[in-house]
Amino acid sequence: MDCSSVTTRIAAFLDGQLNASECEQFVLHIEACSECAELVMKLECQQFVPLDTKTQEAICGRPEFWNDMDCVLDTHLDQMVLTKTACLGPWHSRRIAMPVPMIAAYAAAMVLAVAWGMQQQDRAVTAEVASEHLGQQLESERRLAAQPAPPATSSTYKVVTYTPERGTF
Amino acid sequence: MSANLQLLKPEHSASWTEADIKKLAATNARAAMEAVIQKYRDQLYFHARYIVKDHQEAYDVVQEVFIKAMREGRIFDDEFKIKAWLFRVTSNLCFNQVRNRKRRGAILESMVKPESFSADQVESVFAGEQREELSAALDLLSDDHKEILVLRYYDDLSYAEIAEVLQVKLGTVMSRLSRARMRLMAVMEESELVN
Repeated sequence: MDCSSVTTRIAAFLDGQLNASECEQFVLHIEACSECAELVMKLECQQFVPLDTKTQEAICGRPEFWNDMDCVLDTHLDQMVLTKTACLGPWHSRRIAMPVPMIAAYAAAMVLAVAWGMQQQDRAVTAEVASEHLGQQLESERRLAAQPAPPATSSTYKVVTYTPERGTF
Repeated sequence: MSANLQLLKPEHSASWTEADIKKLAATNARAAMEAVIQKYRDQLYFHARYIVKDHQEAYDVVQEVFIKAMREGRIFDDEFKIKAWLFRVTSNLCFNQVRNRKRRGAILESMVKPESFSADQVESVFAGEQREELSAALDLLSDDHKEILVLRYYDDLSYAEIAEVLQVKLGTVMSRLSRARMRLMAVMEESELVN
């Protein structure tokens, strides 16, 4: 065991939490390394002073000590019980805090929504293509309309004047 | 509530294991939650008290922890570690409380106010030269170091329990605890030099 390993295990050694082989290696190292031995000695002197059980009981064991908290928690406990009884059925999922059929309904709604969305997207794409095609057609029509009309020739166009004879109708 | 809580006597619920409480929860969630409250409230109060160093704040934190516990849907699940969760939430709320207090500029005000000690019988128990010196040094440590030292040497949690509370490996508990103790020693030596 090197100095670095000793410094990471020093608290465990002092608390008696190292296993036998680790403890043996630890002791072997501090016997050989004066710096680590000094560190162990210094930390051994560290005294934490927690309250003893009797004093703790003297504080929290008083009947009035928890009264205020009890009053507050009581109402919350009632609410908790109401919520639990309302939602805890044979098909209730604790993890999601919801009945299983409701989870299934949500899942189905999600799937339907996604499918509907995809269908709408397809329709939108088709409509876009169609409108683009129409636009192109319109543009070509406009171009044709903008071109000057060819001069009218007698062979092409013939003015016919019709005058019905008297007594036709 | 005191009348309702007498359903389970503290001396009985304290000896209950988490498995017993979870079994009870299957039939009576309210009684199970009362058992949780009675089993852990003293420990949580002292844990909070060591961190926030104020009776009322510690008391409020513990109350808030139990309200959170009632809203925690998985608390009676088989794999749920009730004690570890309670200590973890308590620590988080305490450190938030301390940070808020620091922000308000009232850092450790309650500690240096002699009237707050004499006013409350509870406070005087925590006073004492050695306790105050160590307590002041603990406040100069990082939250991680302070938390692990309180969990180990004040709340008397085992290394395995600390690992569950902090959600770290056992080796990390060992190394963090060692670093925390060395840092505490350094802080105390520095303060002695200054004095």
